[in-house]
Amino acid sequence: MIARQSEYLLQVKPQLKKLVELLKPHYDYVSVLATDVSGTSFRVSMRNTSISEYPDGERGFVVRVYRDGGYSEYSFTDISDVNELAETIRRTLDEQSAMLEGLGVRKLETPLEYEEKIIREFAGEISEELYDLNNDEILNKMKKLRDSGASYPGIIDCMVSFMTEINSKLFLSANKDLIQSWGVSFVSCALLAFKDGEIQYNNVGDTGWFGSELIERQECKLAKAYEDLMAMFGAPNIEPGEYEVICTPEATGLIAHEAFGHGVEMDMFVKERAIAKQHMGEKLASTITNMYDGAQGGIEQTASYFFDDEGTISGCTKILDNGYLVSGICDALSAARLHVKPTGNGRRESFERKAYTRMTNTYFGTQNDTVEEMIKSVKYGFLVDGMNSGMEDPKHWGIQCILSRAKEIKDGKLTGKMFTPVVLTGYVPDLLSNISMIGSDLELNGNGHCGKGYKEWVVVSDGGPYIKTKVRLG
Amino acid sequence: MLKHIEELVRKCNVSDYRIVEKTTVSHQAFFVKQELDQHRVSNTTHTTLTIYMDKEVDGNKMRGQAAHEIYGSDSDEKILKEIDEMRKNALLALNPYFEIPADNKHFEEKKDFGLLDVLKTLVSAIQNVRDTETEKINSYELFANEYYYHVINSRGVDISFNTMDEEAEVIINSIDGDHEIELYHRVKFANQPLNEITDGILDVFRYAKDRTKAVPTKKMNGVTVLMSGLDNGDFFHYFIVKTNASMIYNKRSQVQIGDRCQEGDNCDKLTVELVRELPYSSMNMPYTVEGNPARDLVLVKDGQYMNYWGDQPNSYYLGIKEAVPANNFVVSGGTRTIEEMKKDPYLEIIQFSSFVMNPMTGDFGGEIRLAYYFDGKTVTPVTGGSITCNMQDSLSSMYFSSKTRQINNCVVPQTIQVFNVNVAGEE
Repeated sequence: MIARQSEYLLQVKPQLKKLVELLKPHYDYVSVLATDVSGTSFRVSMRNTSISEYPDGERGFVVRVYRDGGYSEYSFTDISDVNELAETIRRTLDEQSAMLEGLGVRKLETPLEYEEKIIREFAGEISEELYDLNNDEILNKMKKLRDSGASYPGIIDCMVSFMTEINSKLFLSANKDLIQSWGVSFVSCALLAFKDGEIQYNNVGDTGWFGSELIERQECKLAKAYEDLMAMFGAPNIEPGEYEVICTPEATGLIAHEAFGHGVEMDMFVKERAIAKQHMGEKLASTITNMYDGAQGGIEQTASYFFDDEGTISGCTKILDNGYLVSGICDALSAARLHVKPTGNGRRESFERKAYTRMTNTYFGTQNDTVEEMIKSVKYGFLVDGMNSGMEDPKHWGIQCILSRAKEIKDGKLTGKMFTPVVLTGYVPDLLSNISMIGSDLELNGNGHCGKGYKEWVVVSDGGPYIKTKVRLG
Repeated sequence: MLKHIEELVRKCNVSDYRIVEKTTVSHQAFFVKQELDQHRVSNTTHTTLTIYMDKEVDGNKMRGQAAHEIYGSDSDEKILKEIDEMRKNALLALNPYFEIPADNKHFEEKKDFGLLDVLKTLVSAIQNVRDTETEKINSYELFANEYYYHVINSRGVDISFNTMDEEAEVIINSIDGDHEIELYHRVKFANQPLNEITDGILDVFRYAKDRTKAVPTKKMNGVTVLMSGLDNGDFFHYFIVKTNASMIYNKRSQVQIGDRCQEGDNCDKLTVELVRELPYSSMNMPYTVEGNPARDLVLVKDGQYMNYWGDQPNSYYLGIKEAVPANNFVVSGGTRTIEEMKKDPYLEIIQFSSFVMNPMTGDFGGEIRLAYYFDGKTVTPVTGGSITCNMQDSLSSMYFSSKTRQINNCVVPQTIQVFNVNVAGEE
């Protein structure tokens, strides 16, 4: 079904319009973003059951104003007295401004961009179930999955998590009147095993514009997850070196996100923190490589939306086109500073935080190779899987991805030998130029959060097909 | 708001309840080089109601809980409907019974920390850091935050307290000819003397300069690694996670009181202690949001596990009388000076790209952003490559420097000496 707009946002809209009107005489630009994000988080393990609020749920507001070449913002939760609120916003931001001017702080002058007039209502797909959850039934599905996971020998816990999110936002300014709503679900199931003083774990999961049917879909993944998990016990560290490597869609997604996604966030161009700025239009990957980031018009996943947290209509950006770097992704203020069009990637951790350029659904495009062909083509190398973490280095195009495991391939066959954990490092253009084979099936997972540095966590999804490349493992 | 919710929840048939009201005021400023990108203020209040429902199942007393943020704009009818929904959810999510804290009282008036002045001091300090010919500040973000908590529950807990913290995230560049590099520096603290903050940045200037001259890390086997960066806090946090009551109760940690985490005498014996207050820490909260007081507690003494810490339900399940939070911790220094550690060849890692410490498996390591390699004759700055080690495998041969340092809410040895490490690097 199509998502319903938030009753709360529709109810407060007249007050917010009034707030914009009250502030308008004092600033060259005023906007307000209102958020109403709700949902439920279910957790079932062998010793615990819980139902609580969706952890990223929120209800609040942020006003953005522009004056004398600079922007400032005020976040708040109390809208009971709009006249007093307008006065408080003005006074507080003026005091802060005066303090900074008193210190002789110079402003990073930012042009005020013309804002196109748009009045629009957006509603995405949503599972009808999200509006009327049968919590008992959901817990039963989760307990069934837990019991299946726990039935394998050596499992000490099976933790199932299911979360629903109904995300509604309203954006108002002199020229914009936008409202949107959509709903997604997240499921993960972690198997935890203990053997000879060692603990290992492995996850399966899925996300998307679905309901609790996602829980049932995990059942068939458990046997493979268990097999991988048990092989991790006693698995040695890999002998450091450069190898032919096949990445599962999960590992491919981590590379897309860390290797290149962060490097083309254009607020990093403003700060001269991303080397990609100097290499636009250049060939940086093999000709079979295409990469995308998009909240709308590409793949629908957990980071899909219709307009971003600055009121820019979202789209899908092709970043790598047959190996050439053709575009970055950009928030509104960075776009104004760089004199380019924003791509609808201005996102906030919450209404209480600043907007930055952020990724949405980031993925490599497909080609026609099969996994079997890839494995067959490897003389000696590894199939890497299981995302642990990653860290970007846009300044130097360094990459660090920590993966759970690497399966050895010798003379075109998996040997059954496993290594864990695996640190994948290297120089991004080398890794991308070494991509020699790309699979045909696209898989994205949106169970992760992405930080800017070590903070500002937002929901993202990433993925792609299986890819074959050459990279350093350690 | 809090009292009004209490009036409403009292009318409902719940076994227990808790209400937490948290008010946050934040002043923030963002800079590109030394120019103001934007400035922000945030003033928010969040009120969360938790209700507890008891039920006997097969002769066992069970308790379920459900929590929800209650919004000031909600009508009484809406709040009552929400409570009814929470009651149902709590009865669906039953766990073994636990008691909630009772009778704790602590009152503080809401305090004004003068955040505008706090931010002014921070901005002024970093604006006054002079770029050198080759090192400069690329960008920075500053936050001055104050928090006011008010917690009440149905068993007589009524506590209120203030806390504050400050945060600086600074990106530093260094240039050597055409080669420009950056280092990341993020610190969180409270009321720290300004020279400590700016000294930290100047240290990073020095490291940044060295990184421009760094050569790729070579592949090495069996090398002695000295870990001397800010990640040492995360490294020792492993023991905080291992002794957490929730981890123990859920069997995700196998630690038993009395177990030894180190064997033999070829190591410095580990001592980890929780402390209620640590000067300049951003985590000096006198109470938890559950209503339990913070206090000192020894977790590991001379390599032996002594106590667990944790939240109320899991502590109750383990038979711990007083649930203690892990706000601040202190790890005792070891027996060796840093100079002694540096007598033989070593790889001293100052900064990882992103240090990873997996508390479940004990695996730790990451890609090297800056390290110094001493081959027995000369010290060379190196970058790139990575290490992967395991806590259980290496703890019984590990040494800690006698010198310690504070990293926000923890005091830890300045340097950790790990032996026989394989380094993935250039061949």
